[in-house]
Amino acid sequence: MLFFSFFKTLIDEQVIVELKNDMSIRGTLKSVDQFLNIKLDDVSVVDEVKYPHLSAVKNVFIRGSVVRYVHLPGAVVDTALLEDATRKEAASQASKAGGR
Amino acid sequence: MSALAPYVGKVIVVVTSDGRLFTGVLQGYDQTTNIILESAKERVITPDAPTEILDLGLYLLRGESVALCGLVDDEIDSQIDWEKVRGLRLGETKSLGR
Repeated sequence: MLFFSFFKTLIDEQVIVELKNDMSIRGTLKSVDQFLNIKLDDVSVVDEVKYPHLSAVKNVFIRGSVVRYVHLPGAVVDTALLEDATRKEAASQASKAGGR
Repeated sequence: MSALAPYVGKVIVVVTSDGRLFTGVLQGYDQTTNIILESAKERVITPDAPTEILDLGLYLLRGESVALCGLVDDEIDSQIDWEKVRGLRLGETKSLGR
């Protein structure tokens, strides 16, 4: 759930989603769900000449399972908060797995 | 929840994991992204030949094979002569091994 929460904080930011089929799509992050499916508004394909397939499309829904990377603007991420949340998540996972 | 609800009843473009491009009216979907497309057509876009358009009718696409769904903007789409469009063949999302 950590990355779901993380992406929710990035709603309305501009990101580039790189898919496993090597296509990259730039757009504004509008929505994310528990599967990390992503909805982007106002999209433009990064190499439009190679990939004219989406020329008539403004908004997309990308299935989480086909995402390779989500490129983010570094300035927007509070790394301290993220580190902290990760430590908490790791701790709760460790205790869920049963103290040994 | 990032759902496809706003796209129902509208024309969408679906890119599949094997690199194909479909277009049609979204009739239904579920949480695994299974998709029902009405008046489905496949657009075969290649770098060196005119785009082929294949009429398919009513289609069900299994969620596993869906990569992306795009909402088609009718104004823009009607201004594109798809036969003249050339582009790279879309890649597959699955590489060897998995």
